[in-house]
Amino acid sequence: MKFLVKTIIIAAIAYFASQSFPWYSVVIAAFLGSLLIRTSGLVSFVSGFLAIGLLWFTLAWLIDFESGSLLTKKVAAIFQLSAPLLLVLVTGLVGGIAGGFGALTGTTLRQIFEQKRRSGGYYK
Amino acid sequence: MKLFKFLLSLALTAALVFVLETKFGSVPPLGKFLNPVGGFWQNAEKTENQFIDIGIGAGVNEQVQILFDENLIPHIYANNDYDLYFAQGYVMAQFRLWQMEFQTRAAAGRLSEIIGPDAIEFDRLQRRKGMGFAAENSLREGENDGQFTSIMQAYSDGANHYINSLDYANLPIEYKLLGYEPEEWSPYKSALFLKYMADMLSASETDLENTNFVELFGKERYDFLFPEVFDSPDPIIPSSTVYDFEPIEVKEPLVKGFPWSNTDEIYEKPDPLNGSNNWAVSGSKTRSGNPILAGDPHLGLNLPSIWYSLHLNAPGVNVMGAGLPGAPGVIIGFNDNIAWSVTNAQRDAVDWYKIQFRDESRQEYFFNNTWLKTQMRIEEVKVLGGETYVDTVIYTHHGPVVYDHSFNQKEQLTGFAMRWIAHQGSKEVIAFHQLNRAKNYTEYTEALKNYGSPAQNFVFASNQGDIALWVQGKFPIKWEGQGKFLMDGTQLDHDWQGFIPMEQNAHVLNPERGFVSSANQHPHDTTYPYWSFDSNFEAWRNRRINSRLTEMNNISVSEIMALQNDNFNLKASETLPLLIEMTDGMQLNLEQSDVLDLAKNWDYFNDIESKGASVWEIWWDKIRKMANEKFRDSAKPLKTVGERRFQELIAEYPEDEIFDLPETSQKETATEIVQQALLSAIDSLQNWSAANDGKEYAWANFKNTTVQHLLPPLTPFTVSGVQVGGNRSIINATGPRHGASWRMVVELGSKPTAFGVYPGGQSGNPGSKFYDNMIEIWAKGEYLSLKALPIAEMQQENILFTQIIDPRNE
Repeated sequence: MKFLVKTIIIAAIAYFASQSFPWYSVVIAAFLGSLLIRTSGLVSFVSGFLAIGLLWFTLAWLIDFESGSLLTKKVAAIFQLSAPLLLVLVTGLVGGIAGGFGALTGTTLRQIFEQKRRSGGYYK
Repeated sequence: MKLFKFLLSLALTAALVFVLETKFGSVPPLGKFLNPVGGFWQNAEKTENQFIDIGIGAGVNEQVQILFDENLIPHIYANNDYDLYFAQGYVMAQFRLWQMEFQTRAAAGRLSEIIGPDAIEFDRLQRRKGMGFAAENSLREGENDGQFTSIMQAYSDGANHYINSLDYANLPIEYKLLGYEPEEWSPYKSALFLKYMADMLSASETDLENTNFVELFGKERYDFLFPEVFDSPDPIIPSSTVYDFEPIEVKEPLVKGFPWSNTDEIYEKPDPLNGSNNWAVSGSKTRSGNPILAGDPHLGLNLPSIWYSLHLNAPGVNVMGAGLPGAPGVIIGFNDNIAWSVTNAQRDAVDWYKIQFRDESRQEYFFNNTWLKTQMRIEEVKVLGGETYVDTVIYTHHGPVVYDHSFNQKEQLTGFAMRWIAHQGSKEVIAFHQLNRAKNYTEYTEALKNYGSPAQNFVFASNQGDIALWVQGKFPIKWEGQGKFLMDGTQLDHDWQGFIPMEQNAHVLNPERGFVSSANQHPHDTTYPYWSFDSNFEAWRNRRINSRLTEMNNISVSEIMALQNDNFNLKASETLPLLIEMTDGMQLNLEQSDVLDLAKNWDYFNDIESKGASVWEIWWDKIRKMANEKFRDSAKPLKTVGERRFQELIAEYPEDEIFDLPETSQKETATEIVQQALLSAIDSLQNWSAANDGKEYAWANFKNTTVQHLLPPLTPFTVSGVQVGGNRSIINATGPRHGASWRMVVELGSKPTAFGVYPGGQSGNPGSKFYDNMIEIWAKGEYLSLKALPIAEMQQENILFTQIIDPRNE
């Protein structure tokens, strides 16, 4: 459940942030999402990956669909991909990896503070 | 440990972002590029009309309305000329910005900045030819002319208004792929663009190749193979024309000695196929009684197209036709009263002078018995991913020294300076500004007075019933033979002595034959009082046009359209019967004689489905190639024998040594060459079929007309296999990579009826359906209707969207 909420929150922040900020705002969105919601490192990565990956995949796929692949098939060919859908997949993959690392970084930062807080309480 | 994990993860993330934000070789920054919100995806246009009526900010004096019709042709309505050209600059940048910038970068020799070290030699050449020098001179020529500066500034302001509104998401895709950003536009860039056109059209001379030829084979042989005038030249200005003016006298040098020394390397010249057709028929020959004008400039076929169609309306002007992205005004078009079109006027506009430097400092050169100072221009070629290349170009009073010790010239104290008419400033922009507004023949000739280079044959027709044609440009007065070969740069009398006054340029008004025409052939017959020369004259399109127009009467617009798309191959009809005769006695197998039969039964039309046309074209190419091989293989670059002369040689001099193959011991004649070439041609045709899944070599498939993106490696942006007939020397001059880049037909009634089309589309964006939508229409020989209507008469249902520019003070 937490995983799902986190993924949705990251995707939402990323979507709105990238309307006015550069593409790497999606990495920061994933980072912020991880600061907000606690999960393990692995879950965090997967959550960031899916959030940004699916976001980019969906947006790209919509554009591909609405434009009848007119440009996508040409750009796919420039990158020696045999079908427009592969370019949509690559887009999702690149976004996903960037999002995954952003989220992981957020979680590892959060873990530093969590440990301190917890350890402080333990020895009191 | 936790801290380490965080730092590691942070470092990995930062590295990843960095990698995705960086361009590697030809791979664009992937994060930036693939981002669906801002990357290349934003260049994909929806198939459903996505345009909305929008305001585009302020910047003009009074409100401007731009209505885009169903072909995305803008109809610009302004209240004054500044606003009109502002809007034109805005609109052209909006749809063609990348091309505008790329072409001016190419002109200026600045491609290395975006492409890298591969372009250094190209950039050096552009600078050595003095492209920037020429553009500066044009601006200087116009700097005291308020109208000139205002037009150039308005266009530039408009283009910049668009450029400044851009962010990464709406940059043209080529910027995203190559990873660079547009610069500001400027009047200098428009001037550069016009020099880019001048280079394309007036610089394909062969003076140095001619010199090499004479050096290797002698003057007599040169004169035999390269006659100045063809038999039956059928010149542009009809032979009946009387030249009753007093020509300016030209002083012949005492000694016409040319320096027969040369360079081993000559840079590649613009495509000599750059040519065109145009004609105008008087009302006495048309069905409606109105004059009809037709024009189709032939250029390299590229995407985005060189042309952009537009309609400009303001008080005093209502003009429509084809413009050139980068330049203000309509270049070929019509208004309410007149229509005009251009073909290239073949005239040697570049001459070469051998320079003798005093010493290795090259600060002085010898001229007219004295030492003159040179000027040095330091050219810094900035290189993507490399060190700046610094080149010093030496200038003499002739012009820039293109070839010297650092560029294709081995002798330390020798250089070859280039004298090019386009180095001089002239105000073509004013010529087009006035032509756009001209109401009659007198105003047309007034407008042409401002036109210097590249020289063009301006065909004209008006609704007052006049038809005319001026061979217009700034032409140096030359003594016979001047500038045909490398000249002696130390002699005063080898310099250009002056220019032909415009009123003495060859022209014709309302000739008795009822039509005027031009197709890059000889401008005039030998009764014209000045000597003129070019290395390349057309010999077939002109004769076909003139013979058709002579026999046609009661002509309709659709018959003129059909003539523009005429595929009759006059050259083949004159030559093929002879070639076939020469195959008598050949031992051919069944398959081979089937191929020969295709040629025998051919009707001489290079139509889409014709196989006979394929046989003829490849056969003829092979014959010429075999005979010219020895010139092509020469250590010094030479010119090959032109097709017209070659045709004559086969018919009249079949035993000439040009047909002798140097690699064999016996002496070949034309017959052996023709026979060998046939076998080789048949092989090529069969190989082509084998390589194309056994497809038959129908002419359009075999020719494979390709409209290529300006960056050839981006092949998916190129359209190939266009189903279209024609070839060079045919009125429909569409070859594999070259052809009618714009076709226009206008009937001059009380209101003009006009049609136009070009092989491309109004949008430069490969992600738009308007990128290449006209190619098919063009290939079929069909046209769009061009309507220059007042804004009140524009039909709403034909308007895709409207843009409004508001005054700057609101």
